[in-house]
Amino acid sequence: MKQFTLEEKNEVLENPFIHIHRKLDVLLNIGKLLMECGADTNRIIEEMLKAATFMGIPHDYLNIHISYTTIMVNLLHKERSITVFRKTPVHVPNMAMINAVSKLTWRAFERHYSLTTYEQLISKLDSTIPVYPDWIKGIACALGSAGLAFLYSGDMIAFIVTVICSLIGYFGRTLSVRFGCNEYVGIAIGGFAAMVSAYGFYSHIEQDSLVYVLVCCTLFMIPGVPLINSVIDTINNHILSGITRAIRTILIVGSMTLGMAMALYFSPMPAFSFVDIKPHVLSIEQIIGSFTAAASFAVLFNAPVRLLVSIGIGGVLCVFTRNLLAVEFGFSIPGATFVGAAVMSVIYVKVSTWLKTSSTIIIVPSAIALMPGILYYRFLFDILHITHYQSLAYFIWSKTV
Amino acid sequence: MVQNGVTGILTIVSIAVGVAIPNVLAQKYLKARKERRIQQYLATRHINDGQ
Repeated sequence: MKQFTLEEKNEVLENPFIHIHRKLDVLLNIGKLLMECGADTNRIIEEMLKAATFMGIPHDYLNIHISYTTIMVNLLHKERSITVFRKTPVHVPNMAMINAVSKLTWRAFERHYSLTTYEQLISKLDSTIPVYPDWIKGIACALGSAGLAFLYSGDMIAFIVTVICSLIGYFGRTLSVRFGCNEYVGIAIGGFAAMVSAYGFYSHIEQDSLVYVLVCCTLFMIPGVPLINSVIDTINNHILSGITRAIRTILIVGSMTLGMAMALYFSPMPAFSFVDIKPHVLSIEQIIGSFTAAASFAVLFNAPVRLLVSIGIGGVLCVFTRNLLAVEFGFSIPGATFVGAAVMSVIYVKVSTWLKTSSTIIIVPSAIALMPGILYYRFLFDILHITHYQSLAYFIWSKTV
Repeated sequence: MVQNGVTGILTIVSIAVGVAIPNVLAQKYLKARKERRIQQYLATRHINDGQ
């Protein structure tokens, strides 16, 4: 095999048209990895442009088009035009991968990698980044949902029962997908299994706090990362990708609500529609709950183990700020949530440099503890029961006239 | 009924905008810092030439 000199390696990285198809392939690989792992569109474009700079491709030559399921790159210079694209069909949040792609490109700059080395390392990332096994993800889902139950004023019994019901829901969903069911059917089955078990506990055990199990046992299925990305993409004018992500989250929450509604068929007005989740006091349980929820859901997004504690603290920071503003200063929930998320993200941009990681990896999972998942499925649940509300309104009207 | 949906949507927008605040406010500074770092690395690309 021919050994290249340092000058020859640099020539490859400084002339955009040498090995141009390999370079475009690397760009597509980076875009695909980031899109499939839950990066927002701005970040994907930034990383692709950073890699293009490393490989000597001027930004003026590049046109990058990103949609939720396709990454397209066009290189246009004078009479030359090359267009390549790649599909991105699988979407599983993976924060470790987003971090690894960013770090690899910086390392390539720092250590002066050749194109071949960079290309090989990028293509190996898929197999080198460790992923948590399913059973750990299952436990994390259960702990995350139970943490939210604790956060909304549930007690220890509600915490334990939520763990059990969420585990049942998680394994219901995982098994149905393994048996080849459609993804959305799997989510509906998961929601059904979790809610049937939660309703079983609720109706057989005399304990008021068990209503929080009904509220929280399916919250692990709320797609937090696509929800946040859909808004970030839309406000950055990547409307196509933003709206597609939003539609996907509606489909997921809709399937989950359908499963839950089937489980509660014989209880047309379940208690969880009226449970108050707004904080009224500040308590230590809220700190424990938000830490558990943020750190556990971070496992679901494959955040590296060394960052889990920081993510948990980030969750505490934003939830505590939100609750403080809502309880002590009478802020509305959206207003308090905005300040909580903003305070946490500003602090964590600095913290990310100390932890030598990309800021997104710790900021997005930390903000998941603020997610208003309950409101979404309550809203869809109410739509499913709209006829009941109409008859109730008619009943009240007929009594008053 | 509608209140749940409206509060939910407002809250998710609040989270996303809150999370994006450092980029919204300091976009120019963060980009310049990143560009400076890239230029520093590129400047050392030829440091070992001829060895």
